[in-house]
Amino acid sequence: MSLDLENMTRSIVENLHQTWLYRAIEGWCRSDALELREELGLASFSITTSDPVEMYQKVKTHLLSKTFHDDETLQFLMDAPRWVGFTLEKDEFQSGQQVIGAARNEAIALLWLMAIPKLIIKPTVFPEDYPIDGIKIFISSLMSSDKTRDLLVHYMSKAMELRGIHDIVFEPNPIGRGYIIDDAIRPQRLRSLLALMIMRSTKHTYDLDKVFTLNEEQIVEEASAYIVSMQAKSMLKNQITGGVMLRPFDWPLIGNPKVCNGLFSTLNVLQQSTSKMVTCTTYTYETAEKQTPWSRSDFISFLIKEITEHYSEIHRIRHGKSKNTELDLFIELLTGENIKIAKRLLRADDPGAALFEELNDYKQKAKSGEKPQITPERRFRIVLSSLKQQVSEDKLEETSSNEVMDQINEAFDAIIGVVESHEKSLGDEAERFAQALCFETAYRILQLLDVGDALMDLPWVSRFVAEESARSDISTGEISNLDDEHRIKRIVSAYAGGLTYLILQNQN
Amino acid sequence: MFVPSRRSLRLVEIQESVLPEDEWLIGISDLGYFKGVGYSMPIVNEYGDENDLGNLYAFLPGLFYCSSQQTSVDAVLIEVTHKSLSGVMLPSFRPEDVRTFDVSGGLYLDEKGKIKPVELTTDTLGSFGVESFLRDSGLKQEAFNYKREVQIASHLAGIVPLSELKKAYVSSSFLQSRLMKLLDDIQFYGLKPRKRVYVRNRNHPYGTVVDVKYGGLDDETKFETGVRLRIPDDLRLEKELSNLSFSKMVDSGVEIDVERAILDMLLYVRFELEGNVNHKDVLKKLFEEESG
Repeated sequence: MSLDLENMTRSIVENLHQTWLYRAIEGWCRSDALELREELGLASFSITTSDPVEMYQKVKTHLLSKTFHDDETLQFLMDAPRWVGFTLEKDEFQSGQQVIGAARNEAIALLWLMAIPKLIIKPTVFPEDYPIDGIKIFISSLMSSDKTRDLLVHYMSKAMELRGIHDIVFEPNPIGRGYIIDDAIRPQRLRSLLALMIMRSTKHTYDLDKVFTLNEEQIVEEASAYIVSMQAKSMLKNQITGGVMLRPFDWPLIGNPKVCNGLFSTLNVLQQSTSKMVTCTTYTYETAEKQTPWSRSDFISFLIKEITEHYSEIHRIRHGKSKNTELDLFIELLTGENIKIAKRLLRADDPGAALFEELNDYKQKAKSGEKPQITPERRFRIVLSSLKQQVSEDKLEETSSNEVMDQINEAFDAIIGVVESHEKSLGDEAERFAQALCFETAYRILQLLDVGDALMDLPWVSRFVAEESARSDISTGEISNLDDEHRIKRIVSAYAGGLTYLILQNQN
Repeated sequence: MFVPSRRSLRLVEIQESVLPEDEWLIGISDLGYFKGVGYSMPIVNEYGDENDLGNLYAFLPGLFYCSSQQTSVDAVLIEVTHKSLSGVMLPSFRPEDVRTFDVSGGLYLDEKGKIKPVELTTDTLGSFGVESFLRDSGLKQEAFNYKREVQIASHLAGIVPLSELKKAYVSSSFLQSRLMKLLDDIQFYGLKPRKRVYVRNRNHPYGTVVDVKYGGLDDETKFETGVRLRIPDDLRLEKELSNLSFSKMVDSGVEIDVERAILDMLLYVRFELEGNVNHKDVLKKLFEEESG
């Protein structure tokens, strides 16, 4: 075991240059309390003049906000110790220097925890060769006890010494001076806190309540699985995007059987690791009150989506919003036939070769100008699900409101398609149907963005926008725009406007 | 929907469609009476000759002007039904289709495009509009896409916060024309009962106005014993409406029938307006600063 630990720590130290988090750790380790005091403009070290807890949080926020620029992650790091039950007690400090030192140490420990999932596997290792046992041993030492943590610290310092890194401290326990908790629950809560940090770092979503119910063995398994699946997922992206030398999917290239086989090997590791997870909600979907894990065909469908997104990105860079290029058709075909392709690949003996054949096939179809056979309903579902995916991924990073707006426009485009394709059977009800579908869609989008309450204002805001729009037609004499034939489109446009206003307002 | 915590006379608009040319009802009412829209209790037909439970009715007593029938009524009653079409629920009524204007003034845009508050009078109604923005934006009129509505919406989001948007809405020209119909009607006919109600239900899916008789108005003793609403031209509807019962929240949930709620509200409207029916006084009352 200690040999494993020695190997793991060595490999982590070799990877240190891989992440910008390490640069932050390096920087803060080398600045002392005095420098920090000056940086923060804290006039006095004295804790009699200011509240130590306030000073502590100020220092911690200062350090973390230099590295984490999105408010959500920052808030998470600020609040997590309190969530799991640790409280800062001002009487634990005797001097301002202690306050600054303790806050600095916590921030550095948090940076280490956020960095570990990224450092623990070398980027050149293929997913099928991931040192899964080593990862578990490392995580277990991290979580088990103060004694095992000391051992970890010992090995890490030794490994850093060997690489000529002398003045950097590895201390993964964020709970130091100032924090108090009932001794009986301390080990368990500390484990939960460490696990939450690792889970957060992987950007997977999790069910917080479930994390607290895991025992030591389970939580080690769980955190390790988060790391492995995060690594496999980013490997999958890298394999598709390619590196500087080799870009196998750089349109008009569509990979080859060997590259496609590599994708499936990675996908297998991703599926295996996620199947062990019990707290993660990223690879599940909600059905009638319960979370159902992804099936094999969901994973294959995900792979095709990733490939399609890669081509969309290329299209965006090369052609902007222009339509009907060969690449655009290719993307449309892959999007529209995603589920059909996934079903066929599920049955294939050699899925890698079969994937390549599929891509080849659709490339030919795109060349001959073939359009996907896709019903408006399915297009509508595709738009909504990609919006959902985008929103949930973006939550952790910077949300681009323009992109969300683009997607909303696409969703409303799809509504027009749905209504028009049913116009005959809907008859007199077509307009009510359109209104109800717009209302429902807007509700789902508002919920995705966490502002479901804004729904109550949707009808009148939409009406207001429609009136202002109609008024400009009237004042410019374009009365024909208000004819019956345009009613469905005007209804849909009104809701698109109302929803746009509410989203923009709620973002502020 | 805004639900007032206490009683007050406010402007209320009811409409399902987002298109300006479609049906609308606009009126004065007190949403504190039912704490929102009144919903009937589901009750079994008292004669037992029908097995099914009646649908809920949404109920708003108050003086309303109806665009389709071009007349005013004492109350609005809408049967709440749901129909599923290709997997999409089409409700006959949504609470979101009712809005109260709990605002104490209006808005207009100054030369620089900044919002400015304004007292609502017949002169200032209709003073808000974004067309100058549209003119300057160079957006083409012809192509029907979302561009214009989305542009209007993002422009609005930039200049008017949601908390102020209702003020802009009441100051817009479309609302001005609707509100003027109501104000003219009140000034011309006064606050006497219209003896008409607006009903939308299975038999009248597009809404209708029916003549009614109030037993309690003709005969003080019958009012006490509770003679219910009569609809001489439509006995089936009379029977249906006579079964409805609503919880009057202003009186800690006392059960009340359609006729009594209407007469209650009529009294309240008269009390609040103090008999004043000209445009100026009604506007002043509807958009007065809420105290407390």
